[in-house]
Amino acid sequence: MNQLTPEGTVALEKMAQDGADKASLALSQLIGQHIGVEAVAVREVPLEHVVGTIGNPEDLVSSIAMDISGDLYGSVILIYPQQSAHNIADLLMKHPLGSTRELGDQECSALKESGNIISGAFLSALSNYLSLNMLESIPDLASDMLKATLDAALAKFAVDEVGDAVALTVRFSMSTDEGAATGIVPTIVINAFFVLLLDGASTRKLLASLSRISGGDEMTV
Amino acid sequence: MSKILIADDSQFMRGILKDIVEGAGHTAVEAENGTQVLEKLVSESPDLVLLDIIMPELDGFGVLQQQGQQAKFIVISAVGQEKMVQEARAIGALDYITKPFEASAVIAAINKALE
Repeated sequence: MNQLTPEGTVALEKMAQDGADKASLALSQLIGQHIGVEAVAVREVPLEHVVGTIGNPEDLVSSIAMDISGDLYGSVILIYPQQSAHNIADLLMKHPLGSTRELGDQECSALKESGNIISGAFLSALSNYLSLNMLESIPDLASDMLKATLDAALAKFAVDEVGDAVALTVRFSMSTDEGAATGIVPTIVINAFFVLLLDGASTRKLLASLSRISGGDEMTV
Repeated sequence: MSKILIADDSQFMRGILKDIVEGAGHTAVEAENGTQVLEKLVSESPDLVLLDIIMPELDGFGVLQQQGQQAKFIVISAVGQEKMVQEARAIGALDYITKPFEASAVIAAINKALE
């Protein structure tokens, strides 16, 4: 497995923080109220351990997956635990909280767009920071158990590539300010996991770029 | 009042943009992929197209390359990478707005493009 250097990890964390900030701004503008990022964590984990960093294999989640092409090849997946998916659907659709019990066409479209925008914010931060070109595909939404979701994503990688691939997970939870400010409206917590899966060659390219940048140049993200 | 074609594969995003366009007093027509955009450039003759980049069948770059200067284009996309922005502008986009956006930014860009 590839190893992130301490400097590379710091660089990646700053980049992820920048991406998460942009993602929260995106959600704030979509929803019409401020959404704050409470936590961002970057971890490099073997592919077979990705599920464990997010939850239990049987947890029900909604995932929005996009392929990456260009200078790097892989996938990005935004994973919402089921309740968070329903909460964010309510917020995006401007429905009363608790309205969404299952995802219809409108809710799926809203969730896919949230994934598109959040992933776009992350990939833009990554691309502009590393000077690497990345284009995401049309988002694909699935509601399933966590393990099934990630297995489907990993199936796109060739068997001999899996060992060298890298998975970067970013966890961020968001809560609306409205609840805290008024004390009347309950604070809404939305948990989301952003997973970046890259094949071996792309991982080496990413790590080389991180190493080069963190080795001297001042970060601008 | 102008006719504005909203091109985005997301039903949710088309709804947001339609509210903005109609709220500004324009007529909105919709397309959900690049092929439909090319068809509606002929059948609807829009004054302006709000164009997403990531769309099925034909993406926004493909539309810009094939559109034959039949309308003005503003790109509205989650893709905010500098190289992409430069490429879109180089092949005909008047403006490039990165999602998410403020409604006022979209209206300002529309007004500027329609001047």
